[in-house]
Amino acid sequence: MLTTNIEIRKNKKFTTAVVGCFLRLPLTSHNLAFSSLLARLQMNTSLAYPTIATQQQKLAQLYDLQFDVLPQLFGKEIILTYYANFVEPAEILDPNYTYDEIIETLSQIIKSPSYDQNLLAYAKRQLEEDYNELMEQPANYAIDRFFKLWYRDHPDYAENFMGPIQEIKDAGLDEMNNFVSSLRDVPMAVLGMARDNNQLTKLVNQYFRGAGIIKQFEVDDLTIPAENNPLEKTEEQDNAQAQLLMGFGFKQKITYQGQIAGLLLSQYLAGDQSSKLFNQIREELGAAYDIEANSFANNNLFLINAGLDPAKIEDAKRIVFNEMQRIADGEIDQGLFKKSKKSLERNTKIGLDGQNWQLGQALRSALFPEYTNFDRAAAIKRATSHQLVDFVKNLFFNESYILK
Amino acid sequence: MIIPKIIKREYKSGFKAEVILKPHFYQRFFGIIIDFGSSDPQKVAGSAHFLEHKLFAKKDGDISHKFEEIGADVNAFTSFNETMFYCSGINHTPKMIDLLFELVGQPYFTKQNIAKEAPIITQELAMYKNDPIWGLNNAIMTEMFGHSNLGVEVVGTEKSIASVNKSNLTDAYSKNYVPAKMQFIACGDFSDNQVKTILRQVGKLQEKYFQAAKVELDQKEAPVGEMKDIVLPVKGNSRAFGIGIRFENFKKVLSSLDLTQILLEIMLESKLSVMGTWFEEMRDKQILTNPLQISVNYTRQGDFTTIFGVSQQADKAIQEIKRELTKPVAKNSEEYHFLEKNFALQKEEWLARTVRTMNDLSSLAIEMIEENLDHENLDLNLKKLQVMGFDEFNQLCKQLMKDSTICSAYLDPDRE
Repeated sequence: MLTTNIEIRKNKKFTTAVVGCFLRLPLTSHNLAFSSLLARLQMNTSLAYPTIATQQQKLAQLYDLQFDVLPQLFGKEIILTYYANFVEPAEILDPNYTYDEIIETLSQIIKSPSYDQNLLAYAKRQLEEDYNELMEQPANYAIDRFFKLWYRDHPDYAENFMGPIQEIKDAGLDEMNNFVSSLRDVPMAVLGMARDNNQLTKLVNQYFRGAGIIKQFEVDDLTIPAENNPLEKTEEQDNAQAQLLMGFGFKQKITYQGQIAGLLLSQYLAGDQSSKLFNQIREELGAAYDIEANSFANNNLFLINAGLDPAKIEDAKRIVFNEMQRIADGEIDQGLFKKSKKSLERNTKIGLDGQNWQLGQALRSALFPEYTNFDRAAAIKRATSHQLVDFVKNLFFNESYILK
Repeated sequence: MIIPKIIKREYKSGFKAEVILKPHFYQRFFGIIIDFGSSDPQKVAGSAHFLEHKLFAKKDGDISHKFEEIGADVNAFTSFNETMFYCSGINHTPKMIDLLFELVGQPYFTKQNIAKEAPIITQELAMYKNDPIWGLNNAIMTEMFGHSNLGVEVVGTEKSIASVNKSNLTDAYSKNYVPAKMQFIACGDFSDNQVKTILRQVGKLQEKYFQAAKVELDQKEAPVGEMKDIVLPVKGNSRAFGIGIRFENFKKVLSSLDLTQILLEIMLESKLSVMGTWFEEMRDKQILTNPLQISVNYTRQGDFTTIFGVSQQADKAIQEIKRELTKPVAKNSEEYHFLEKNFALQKEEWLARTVRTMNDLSSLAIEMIEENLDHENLDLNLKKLQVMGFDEFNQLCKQLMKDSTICSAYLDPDRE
């Protein structure tokens, strides 16, 4: 019997079920632009529901089934994600509302896109409008600029919202048809969670046949190496609040245990009120309302960003550099490190109360080698402050972007 | 749909508590809500929000650090008529509850710590101001409610933030943080014994921290703005627009304000729905591309709707929305039948929405405690909605919309 990339887990406590259909394809700026455009087309219409009104009505009739299509980025890969969250039929007791009806509808929308020149033009307008409004928010604009500079020598990786807007605007019907055809063979996984997971598995098997479902979904290594090529850039927009983004690259790719150290560093620097940067930049300097620190393991990037009083940017930068140096020198606040571990333990446990978090973990298990066997809770427990020091020693400062 | 089991208690002081049982969930959520928010009477605009920030300051430092030591997360928010403090974690229940009461019940305001907080809140305001939609929303709120507390931003203005001092914070605290205006909520997987212990502990703590006091009745105020249609010059290229509808009959038609809010949302969502012929026409004329964001709100100071969207022809979009919302719908017309059909669908959507809320402990707890504060009953409202016929709905909406007034604003990059 063929092994398929289908796994529907048992839903033990949620009132809704969830199904995700994931297509994996290489990240290029072209693929991202066309994935974004296709996502919008499929959110609007399909062969079975050829107008926006009919497709929306069908989803509404299924007790407001929440359906979303979006490309997600995982290092060098795009995961074109079809996400459906629906009320468990047992909660409603409507004889016409069944798993069968739901999965058939989803397969019709996902597997049979349908569009013409008008619908393509409309989807393009939707994306262009979204893009324009997103870029009017300085925080989004700054993130966009940061990544474009970070990947200035690799334009295929430089887009992080929806792909190059000009390529989206220029997209033709034939190009879109070619892109859709190219998706027929890409690896696909269908993951989910439902009360009657056996029945849902049978239905998914029945409705989601195709070459992709038996192809290897897992990727040996999807991380994008960070190139040591430091850059500092400032742009002016005369905003009420300035944006500061500081990017540190990883010298070496990290392990899953190393990823936990990255999460702990995020928590230690900016996760809670007593975290280092939050305390020094917000409470002592009074320069910011919020500070973020995030480890993007698939991009070999550790990013610190904040919205700041424009007059205090240099002070904030100095605080970040000093703190990173202190950690690299082994000066760890053990009390704060302990708190950071507790916070991460709590977030991991509470994550199990979230259906989307669980689906996200299921996707990672399907995508990353040996992730299924990685015990996240145990890894947090055994994390040490030495691992935090090693994590920071493995970083190099690579980019500072300021938008004033 | 299975409604979770809820255990309620009211103490002699008037302080109320409620425990919602959610078996199999790891998270334990606790909160205290105060019936006082940004649009309620206060000497300086933004005091309710400043108070929310400053209650975290204690003689021995920021109390959040004590929550972190036991692995708990703590936060707070201020809305028009409410302030809520909440925490969650997976264990140390008694300690979390102790700390939550200490957070809300033990103010420590000094000239120094107030001066230290002002620039942080100013940066919070700057963060909002960076978003073009904020400017639009602010303009519409001022058009509807003038420069009253409801008409200005929840956090206040730069000027008002700078004028907050120990005296006006203490005044706002002592008038509003009284047992009769406060409620406690717990949500999680608790045994019967744990529920009893929690309610006993809450009883002791509310007695320790909050003195029963006579609640001062606020003078009824109904601030009025100019209700103009305005154009906001803006740098950049945002083409966002907004509409404000101010209701005069919101509190006069039904006894439940929550049900009123639901009916208005259904009516507005239906008339402006992407499934309807009106939106199709707007799409064809390239006046609208993406769905509109609709929100219906009620407060002690005024009741209103905001509608936000984006259009290259914002002035036309505003005119068309106004026309659609104010034109009569003839019985048995095509639109009448669409609205009738859509009402049936929307009833199902509300049922589904309620079922979904049960999965998120924090949202469920916040929704339930807000309902309690407003003397609302979510389950009962849902049942009333399910049995309501279209004609009744239609009549109620007509009464609600009667005498309402509309204002608007749009961003115009060309005029900057």
